[in-house]
Amino acid sequence: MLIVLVLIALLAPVISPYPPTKIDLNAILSPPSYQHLLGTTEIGQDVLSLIIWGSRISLLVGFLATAVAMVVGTLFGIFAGYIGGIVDEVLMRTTDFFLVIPAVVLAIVVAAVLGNTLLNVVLIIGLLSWPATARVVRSATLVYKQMPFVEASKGAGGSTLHVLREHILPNVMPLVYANTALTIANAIFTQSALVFLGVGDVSDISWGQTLHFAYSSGAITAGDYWYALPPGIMIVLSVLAFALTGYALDEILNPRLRGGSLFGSS
Amino acid sequence: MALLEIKGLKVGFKTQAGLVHAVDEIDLSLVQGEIVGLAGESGSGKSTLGYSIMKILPRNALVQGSINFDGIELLTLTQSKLEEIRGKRIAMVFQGSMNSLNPLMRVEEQVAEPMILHQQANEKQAVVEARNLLELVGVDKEKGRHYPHELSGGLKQRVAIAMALSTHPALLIADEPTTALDVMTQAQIMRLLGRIRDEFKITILMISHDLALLSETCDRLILMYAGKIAEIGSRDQIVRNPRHPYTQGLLGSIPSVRNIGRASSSIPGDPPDPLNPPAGCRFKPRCSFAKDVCSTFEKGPLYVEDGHYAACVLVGG
Amino acid sequence: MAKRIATSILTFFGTLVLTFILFRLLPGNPVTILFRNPQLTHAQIVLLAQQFGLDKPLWVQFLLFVENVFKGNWGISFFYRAPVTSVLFPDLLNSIILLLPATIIAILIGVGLGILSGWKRNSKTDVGILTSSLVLYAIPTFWLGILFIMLIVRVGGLPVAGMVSIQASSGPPLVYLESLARHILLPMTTLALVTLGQFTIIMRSSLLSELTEDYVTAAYAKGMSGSRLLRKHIVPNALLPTVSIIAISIGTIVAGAVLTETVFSWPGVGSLIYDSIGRRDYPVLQGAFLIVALFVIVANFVADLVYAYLDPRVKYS
Ligand SMILES: Nc1ncnc2c1ncn2[C@@H]1O[C@H](COP(=O)(O)OP(=O)(O)OP(=O)(O)O)[C@@H](O)[C@H]1O
Ligand code: SF4
Ligand SMILES: [Mg+2]
Repeated sequence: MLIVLVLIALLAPVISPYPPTKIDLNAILSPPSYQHLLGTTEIGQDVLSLIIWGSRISLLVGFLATAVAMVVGTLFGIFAGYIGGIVDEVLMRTTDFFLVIPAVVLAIVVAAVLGNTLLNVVLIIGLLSWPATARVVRSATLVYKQMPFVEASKGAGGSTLHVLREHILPNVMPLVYANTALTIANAIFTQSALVFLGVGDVSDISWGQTLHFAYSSGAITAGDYWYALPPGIMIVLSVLAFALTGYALDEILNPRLRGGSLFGSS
Repeated sequence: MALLEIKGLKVGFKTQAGLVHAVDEIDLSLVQGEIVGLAGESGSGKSTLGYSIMKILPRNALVQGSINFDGIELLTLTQSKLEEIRGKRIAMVFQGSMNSLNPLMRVEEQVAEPMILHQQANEKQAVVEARNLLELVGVDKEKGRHYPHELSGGLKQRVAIAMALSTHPALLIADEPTTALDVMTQAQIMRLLGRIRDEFKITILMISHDLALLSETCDRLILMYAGKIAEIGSRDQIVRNPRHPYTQGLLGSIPSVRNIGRASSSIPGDPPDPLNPPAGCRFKPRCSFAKDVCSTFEKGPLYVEDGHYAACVLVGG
Repeated sequence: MAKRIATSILTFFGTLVLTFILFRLLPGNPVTILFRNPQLTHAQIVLLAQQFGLDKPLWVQFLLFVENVFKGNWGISFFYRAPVTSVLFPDLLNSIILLLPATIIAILIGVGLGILSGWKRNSKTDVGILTSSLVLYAIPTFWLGILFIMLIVRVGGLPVAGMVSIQASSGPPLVYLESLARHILLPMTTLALVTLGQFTIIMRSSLLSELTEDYVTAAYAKGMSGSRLLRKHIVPNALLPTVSIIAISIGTIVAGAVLTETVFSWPGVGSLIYDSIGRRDYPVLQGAFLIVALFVIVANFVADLVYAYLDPRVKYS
C-alpha cells in the first residue's frame, strides 16, 4: 500500500487524466462521469487529478517534516542519554514540555502568525513532532552507554562525538526508523488539518486543500459527496499505511515475550 | 491411598517451530503428608508438570494422560468444578513468586482472596484470617496493609506461601520457592515449608533445580530429564545409591563437606532440543556410560529396590 | 506532589515564554503586530504601549507580559474591541460543554472496547474492534465531521451547525436544553469517535501485556473464574498505563475539538481560533492559545493525580 501511494505521487504527471489546474467550465460540480471519473469541483477541476497530484504535497510534507523531527529527536535523545546529568535534565524537561503542549493547536497558531508557506508548514510540523523520538532514543542510548563495546571505545580514547557516531548512533537507528512511519502518519494528518483550516499552504494542491475548498465552497452542505470523499479516503489510507508499517516495525524490533499465555489464543 | 496419581502424562506446546515435548509419559503418585522434591535442570519440564496438575497451562499446550486427585480425574473436569478445586484443595507457590503478587493490591487482601472465593467468607473475616496466617508464616500483622513493593523478597515469598495456604489445601505445589533469595532466607523458607507440612498435614511437591536443597527437606526425590523421569526414590535411596548417571552427575555437583572449596562439577553438555529429542535414552549424548543399546532404550523407570526406580539400561542388567 | 505542581508551573511558564517569542519577536512580526491595528484608537495604543512597556528592554517586557497575563489583562481584541478575556471565557465554557462529555464517552467506550478486544484476542470480535479502531484513529476529525454533515443534509433531522437555535436561545430552559442536545449530538459523536480509537488500541495492548504478568497466573491459580480475574486484577492494573497515555493525548483531543468546532461552527475556543485567523485578530489568538495550553496543563495535572491515586507505588515517592 505504501508503495502504491508513493508511486501515485511520483507518477502523477503520467497517470493523472487532466492537469490538476485545468478548468472545465462545462463541468462545474458535476457528479462522476466518464469524462471525470470522480466528478469535478466548483470551478470545474477534475477531482481524480486533484487527489493524484495532491498526494505529492501530502507525502512530501509528511516526509520532510518527519526528517526534521527525526534529526532533532535523535540529537536530543542521544545527547540527553549519553551526557546525562544536567544536560539530560534540561533536554528532557524541554521534551516533556513539547509533549504536553497541544501541538496541533500550537501549529495552527504558529502557522497563522508566521504565514503559510510550504517550508513553514514543514518546519512547524517537524519541530513539533520530535519528542516521542527523543524519548525512545534516549532510553536506548542509556542502555547502549553501559555496553562493553562502548566502554572499550571510550577506554581506547575515543572522543564523545566519535563514540556517539560510531557506536551509539548505528544501534539506535532501528528504533528511529520504527518511529519514522508513525511520525509520517502524524505529519500527514497535521498537514491536512492545517490546510483544511486555511493556515497551511492553500495554494499548493494537497488532499487537505481539496477538502478545504469542498467545505468552504458549500459543496458539503449541498451533498456533493464525490468532492469530499476521495481526498479524505486518501488521507485515511495513507495514515493507516504508515501507522501500520510503524506498528509492524515496532513489533519486529521490540519482540514480545514468548508466545504462550494462559488466556486467549496464542 | 495415593492423594495424587499421574499416569502417562504428556504435555506438548505448539509453537511456530513445531511441537515442544515438555513432559513425556510421566507416571507419578504422591501420598498424603509427604514432601516430594522434583529436581532437574532448567527446561526439563518441572514447571510444566506442576502447571498440568493445576490445569493452568498456556493455551498452546496439548495434554494427554490422566491426573487423578483424591479420586477426581482433573484433566476431564469441567471448568466450574475445577475452580472449586484449584486454589482450594490444590494450591501453588509460583516460580519467581516475587512477581506473583498483584502490585496494586494490599498483601492481606491477596491472602484473603482465596478464602473469599472458596469459603464464602466475608471480606472482613477473611482479612482477619489473612493476618493470622501472615503471622504464622513470619510476616508481621501490620505488614498486611502494605503493598508488595514495600516488602523484601523473602517477605513477599512468605506472603505467596500464606496465599497458597489460606484455604488449607491438601496438596501444595511449590515451584522454585526459594530461587532469587539469599542463602539464609532460602533455609528459613525451606524450614517454614517443613513446619507447614507437619502442622497442616499436607502434601508438598517441591520443585527446584537445586538437588542439594531438596535433599535436605524432602522425603522422596524425583529427577526429571528432558520431560521424563530419570530416577525416583526415597531421599536416602537417591543420595546414597544413585543409579542413573544423570543423578550421579547432579549429586557430583552438590557441594558437600568432602568437596568444599572445589569447583562443583556440573554435567558437561546441554539438554537435548525439546523440539526433536534423540531416540532412546535422551541422556545418551551426555552420558559417559552410553552404549549402543541406549539408543533403543524406551522404557520407563526400572525397579532398583522397593520404591526406587531408574530409567537406565544399567539398572538390573 | 510538590514535584508535579512544579512541573506544571514550569510547563506553563514555558508556554508563556513561547507565546511571548511567538507574538513579539518572530521575524516579520515585530512588537507592533499586536498593536498596529487600524481599529484601535490612538488613546488605546498609548495605553497599551504603556502597559506592555514597549520602550523597555525585552526582559522587562516579558515580566510585564507575565504580570499582565496573571492580572487577567490579555489585551484587546481587534475585532470585538473588547478585552480578550471577555471574548474568550464564554467560548471556553462552550468548548468544555462539548469536550467533556465527548471525552468521557470516548474513554468509557474506548476502554471498554479495548478490554473486550484484548480479552478475546485473535477472535473475530478482536479483529473487528481493532480494525475499526485503527480506521477511526486514521480518520481526520474534520473529514468525519464533513461525512456526518453530508449524511445529515441528505436525511435531515438534526442541525449541523451552531449550539442552540435562535428561537431556543431566548426560550424557556427546557426548550433551550433540548435544542442544545440536538445541536451537540453530531459534534460530540464526531469528537468521541475520533478520540476513542486510540483509547481502544492503548487499552488493548495494555491489557495484553498485563496478561503475561506472573501475578495474573497466580491469581487465576487461586481458583477464580476468568471474568472475576479480569474484573478484580487485570482491568484495574491495565488501566494504569492507559491513564498516563490518555494524559499525554489530551493535547490531541483538544486539537480534535478545535477541528470539530470549526466544522460544526460550534461557538467555542476552536471556532474562535479559526475565525481569529481570518480576522488577523492576534490578541485573541494569543489568548486562545494560552487558555488552551493552560487547559491541557491542568488536565495533565489531574491525570497525574488520578494516576498517583490508582498506583500505590507512586503515592509515597
Ligand atoms: N508456553 C510455552 N510454549 C512453548 N514452549 C514452552 C512453553 N512453556 C514452556 N515451554 C518449553 O517447555 C520446556 C519445559 O519448560 P519448563 O518451564 O516446564 O521447564 P523447567 O524445568 O520448569 O525449567 P526452569 O528450571 O527453567 O523453570 C522448555 O523447553 C520450555 O522452553
Ligand atoms: S540408558 Fe545409557 S545413555 Fe541413558 S543414562 Fe543409562 S547408560 Fe547413559
Ligand atoms: Mg520452571
